[in-house]
Amino acid sequence: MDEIALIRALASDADSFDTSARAAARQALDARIELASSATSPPKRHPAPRRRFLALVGALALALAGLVVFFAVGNGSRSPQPAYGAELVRFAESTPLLLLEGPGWRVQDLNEYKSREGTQGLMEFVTGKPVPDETFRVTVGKNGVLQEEAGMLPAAVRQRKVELSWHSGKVEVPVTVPHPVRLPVLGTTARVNTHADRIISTTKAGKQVIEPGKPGDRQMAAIWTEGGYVLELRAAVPDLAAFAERLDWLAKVDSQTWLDAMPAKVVKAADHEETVREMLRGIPLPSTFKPSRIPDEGLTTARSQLAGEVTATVSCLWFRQWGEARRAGNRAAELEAEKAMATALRWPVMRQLEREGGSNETLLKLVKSMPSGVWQFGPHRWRLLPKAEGLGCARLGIPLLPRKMKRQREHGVPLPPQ
Amino acid sequence: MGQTMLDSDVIHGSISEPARFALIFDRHFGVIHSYACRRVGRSTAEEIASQTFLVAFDRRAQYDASRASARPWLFGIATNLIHEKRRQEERQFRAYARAADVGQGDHLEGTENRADAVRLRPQLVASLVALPKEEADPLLLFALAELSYEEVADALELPIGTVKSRLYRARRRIREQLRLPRTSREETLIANLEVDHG
Repeated sequence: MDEIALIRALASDADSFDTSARAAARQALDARIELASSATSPPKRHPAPRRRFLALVGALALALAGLVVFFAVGNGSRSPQPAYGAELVRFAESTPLLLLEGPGWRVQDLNEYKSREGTQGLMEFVTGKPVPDETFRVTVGKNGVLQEEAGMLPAAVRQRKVELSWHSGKVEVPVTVPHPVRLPVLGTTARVNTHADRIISTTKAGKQVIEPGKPGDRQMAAIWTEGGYVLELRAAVPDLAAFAERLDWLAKVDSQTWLDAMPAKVVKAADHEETVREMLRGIPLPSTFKPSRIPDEGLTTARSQLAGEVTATVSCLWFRQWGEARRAGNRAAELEAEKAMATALRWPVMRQLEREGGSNETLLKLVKSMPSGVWQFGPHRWRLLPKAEGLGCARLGIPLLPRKMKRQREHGVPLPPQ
Repeated sequence: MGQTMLDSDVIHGSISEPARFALIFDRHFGVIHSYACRRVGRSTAEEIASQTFLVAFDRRAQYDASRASARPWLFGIATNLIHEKRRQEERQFRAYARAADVGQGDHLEGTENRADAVRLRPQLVASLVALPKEEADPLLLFALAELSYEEVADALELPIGTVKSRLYRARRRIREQLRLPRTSREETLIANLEVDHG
């Protein structure tokens, strides 16, 4: 008999399992996950429409920190010789300015923003028809075995898309590189993960099954550093040679070429004011609203991102009035805010976003919770105002909580992004 | 046939898809809860186990992706949280000392060994409570969580040699206090460790 056996015997009765403990812990984790999901996030590898919209409406932290995205607006017509302002060019020069110059490839989307940690961005290049975002639905069975991961696109479609992401400063985006292969890229060497996606979901005999990814289904990822950026290129490819070819297509270009390559769906800096005016149509505005409340950094902006700024600014002002009215016992002002926000889902800009695949569930839940003043998730209950702060109100210079207002008074407007 | 994703892949995926992290909970909650239960008792274990996954979720971006299994990492977090409940742990161990039987554990074979276990329990508890944290953690992760040396090293972020020497010292202290004889296999192991680590 040894001391290890004695220690194990000592405590052998103490590990009886309690399912209620597990349920409570799981609920606590789910609450944390929900919070993180609504206040995220770094550039998304597969940005599902729902998450994209949550990022816009639920957590403008990213969007308002200085993003620049080109997105559709108006008829998209462009002059043959577009002239970009010095500010815009300066901004473009603060990005990696890379394009994929493969035959027939173009920029499908771009999402870039600045945060306290630095600049992050994600570009999508496609060939042929537009490639939609993939969505994930994961089902987990007993013993944690993944049973289903649905929503992935067929290999032939996946292979028509390449994603390039980058980040600078202190931002950490861990990358799994279990099988490092080296390939040249832009005069340097990239580490390549040839098994970035390990599994795929497929249908066999009418049943959806999970199996190891095959060439073509499988994404490969290359990571390298350049000019203060960590860059990552991802692509589903049939083999390593095809991946090397995509890396070889990457080219550094000047700012004018880069801007010219952006998709036509953009809100140019000069159109900012007019576009905001369009977006405000049909929205009841509080007396504290001024158009100058909408952040305008003189840069190009994605229409969806700008829409997020507009709706969040108005919503934050109404929530601010609501919070102050409740503290002061001003029932009329409180009801006015509740009534105005109750129309949020009918705002034309909201409907437009919904048509584009966005989800408005976070804002809907906030609005529905206004009469009780309580945000409920399972058995957990929180005060509503801190949840409404998740719209990014403090960053918009419209803090809702007294302690944040105090901090704002002491540190100026707006507060730095968190 | 289904295929299980590595913990490292799940955690990496949870950076952009936080909901994926629930899979880590589903896989490991049981063992973390069990370990915490043995160290601090059921009521505090619930808090420790729950907190472990919240802390892990918040730190998922710092997870070392080269570690395929998250189990040692989670035990390390749980162990750190247990340090804040040192008094509770002592209470739990003293409760073991007062218990009338050695439980249903299958770690001891034969009535004689079970009788010895009951007799030695007060001294064992006294020895465990007196162990310095640096030695108690490797020992309890090895004995109660049944981690390998490598996993203990991962959990505590220590070199494996340090883990081995700390385990050796902890075990020697307990043996001396319980006046347990060394087995020939242990003699050999200890001799090797003494050669390895001076």
